[in-house]
Amino acid sequence: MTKPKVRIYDLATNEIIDREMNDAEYAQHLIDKEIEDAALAQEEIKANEKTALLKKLGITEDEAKLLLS
Amino acid sequence: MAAGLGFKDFVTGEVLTAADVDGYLMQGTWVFANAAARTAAVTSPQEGNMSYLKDTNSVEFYTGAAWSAVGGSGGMTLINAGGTTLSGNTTVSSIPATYKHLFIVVKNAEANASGANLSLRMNGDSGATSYEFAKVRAINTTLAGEGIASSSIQIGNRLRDTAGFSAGLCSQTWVYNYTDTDYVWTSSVSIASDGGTPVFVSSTGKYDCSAAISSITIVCTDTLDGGTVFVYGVN
Repeated sequence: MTKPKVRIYDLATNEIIDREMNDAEYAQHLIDKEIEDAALAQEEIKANEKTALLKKLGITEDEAKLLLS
Repeated sequence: MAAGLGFKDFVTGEVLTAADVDGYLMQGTWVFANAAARTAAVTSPQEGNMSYLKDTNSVEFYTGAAWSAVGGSGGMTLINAGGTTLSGNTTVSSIPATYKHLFIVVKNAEANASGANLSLRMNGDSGATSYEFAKVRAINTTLAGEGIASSSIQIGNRLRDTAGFSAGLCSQTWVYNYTDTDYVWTSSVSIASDGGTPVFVSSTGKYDCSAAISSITIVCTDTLDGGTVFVYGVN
């Protein structure tokens, strides 16, 4: 399986290195992705809960904001 | 390299010695393609030596310990000349410790999937709690915020919008006192697009470091496939 690429620009040598992630970098990448996916899923759950609640209350989002302002 | 000897008014018939050439005549402004070429040519710089770097169009003098920009008491210097095109997680390394702060600009960052975040890592440190950040995000009129310990500092959200269009995220980030060896602070603002709706993120972060920052990495959980990062040194 092809791993994502990384780019490293070394200012001391003025050299650009493009290579695949090494094992440690790839392991960290998977951790980063898992955390981000969980956060996005949580956002989606909250958005769905909000929509359901507004529907239950029979008001629009703008009306809800007006109530809370 | 010989140290500068100051000024001498040569008289007719005087013998010009090697020391005269090195100490007087060679004490102009030396022109190099870049800092690496200068390092290769001037292996033992002396206090007061002057150089011009073509890649950054900068005139620098040697303090006795490091090359420093003329007028270095203020101003910004683009460290990575022309910027570095983002391609996957992108690192700029060997950042010189000759400035007070770093200013990092990301222009039109794009990724190959939706919803990705853009984050900043320093010195390759991905410790799970090495960083703390708090952010406020506005998508249209909806505000949300969070403050967490993390393995990086978020500097932008919604790298590519949910409709699949290129969002072209742009951000600016200050890294204050980046040569400190205990804590380094950041502040950042960014703008992107979520299905055509602007996404604004403001974050401030702290990095628990043990050494001066010598490298920064722009991190994205989906492969970066466009955009440019510019790293400025600020005095």
